[in-house]
Amino acid sequence: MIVSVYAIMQGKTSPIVALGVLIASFCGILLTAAPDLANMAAHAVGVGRGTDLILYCFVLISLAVILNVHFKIRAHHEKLTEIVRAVALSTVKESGVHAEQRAVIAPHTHADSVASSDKLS
Amino acid sequence: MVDACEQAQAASDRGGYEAVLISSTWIIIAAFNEGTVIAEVVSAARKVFANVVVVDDGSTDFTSLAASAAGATVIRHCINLGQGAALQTGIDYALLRGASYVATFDADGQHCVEDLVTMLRQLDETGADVALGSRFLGKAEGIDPLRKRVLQLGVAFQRITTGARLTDAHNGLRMLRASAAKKIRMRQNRMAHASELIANIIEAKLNFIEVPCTIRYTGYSKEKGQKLSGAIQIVLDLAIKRMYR
Repeated sequence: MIVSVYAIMQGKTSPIVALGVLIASFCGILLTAAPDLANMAAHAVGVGRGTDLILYCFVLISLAVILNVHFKIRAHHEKLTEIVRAVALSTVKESGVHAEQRAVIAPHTHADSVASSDKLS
Repeated sequence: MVDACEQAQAASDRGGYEAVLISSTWIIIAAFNEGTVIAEVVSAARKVFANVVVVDDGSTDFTSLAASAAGATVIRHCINLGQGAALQTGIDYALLRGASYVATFDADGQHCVEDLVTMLRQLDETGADVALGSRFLGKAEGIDPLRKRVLQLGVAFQRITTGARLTDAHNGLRMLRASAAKKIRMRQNRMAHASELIANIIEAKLNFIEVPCTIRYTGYSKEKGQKLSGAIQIVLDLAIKRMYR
């Protein structure tokens, strides 16, 4: 049940995984609740026992959850990339030519500093 | 005499026009521990292009210092993210600075600056949005047969996954108009960014051309360059990316 809720919560970010987990968990719940059904289903798909089929469902769910965790790590990595990029762009070391160009665009002289401090006082 | 004057004026106008194009072109170089070669690469680029940006992707050597001393603008990632991430950072910066064209250029000395000039001319003449370098239309000096086969497999893979008909799907030499660069975003940090870029170009319906270029394989560039086993990682990265938003 908990896995089903988890699957629904992951629907937006990884719909394929969510659907897979939901189907597998539903099958797991059903087969656990009805052992006779589990045996019938197992025989139908060529598996020896119902418990084996349930185990296989559990393995599938686990793999899907692991894949989803990997997706989350990747998503966090993308956010980390944006943070590192923002920090890098805020501390650019410009070449002499570009630094001079910026100085021409926005000159700041000592006289300007004195004038502005006089206005404040 | 009048014709000669007119021709001289036309030649001067073309030269002046090309100078304007070059002055608004930004060269982006992603570098990771390229301290021994980056100065030479930057110097060669700056002989033609004034706007050279080196994105130091978390190097542990003197890459930043060497690049800065050679006259490049240096942007430094505090941790290593990957070539794709570094190039995107450089492109973002160049666009902020008002670039009309942005170009990606390898830090290991494999590429030729003359090819960038050719790309710029061809983009201007054809009106295309993106110019992609092709070593198979040009020259691949010192390439070994196995690497050539893997690259050709990459071309086939690109054609199957995106429909793009290219002769070289994994070339780091590219040039984009600023308008095109604004429409794409590389989210693959590592080497899969090359394939992702092609996919982005196709999805954004950008017009692209392939331009012959020369790739010089040296012992250094082969040692530093992408391992052939990296092709497997690229396929995995792209496959996983398709499975989640």
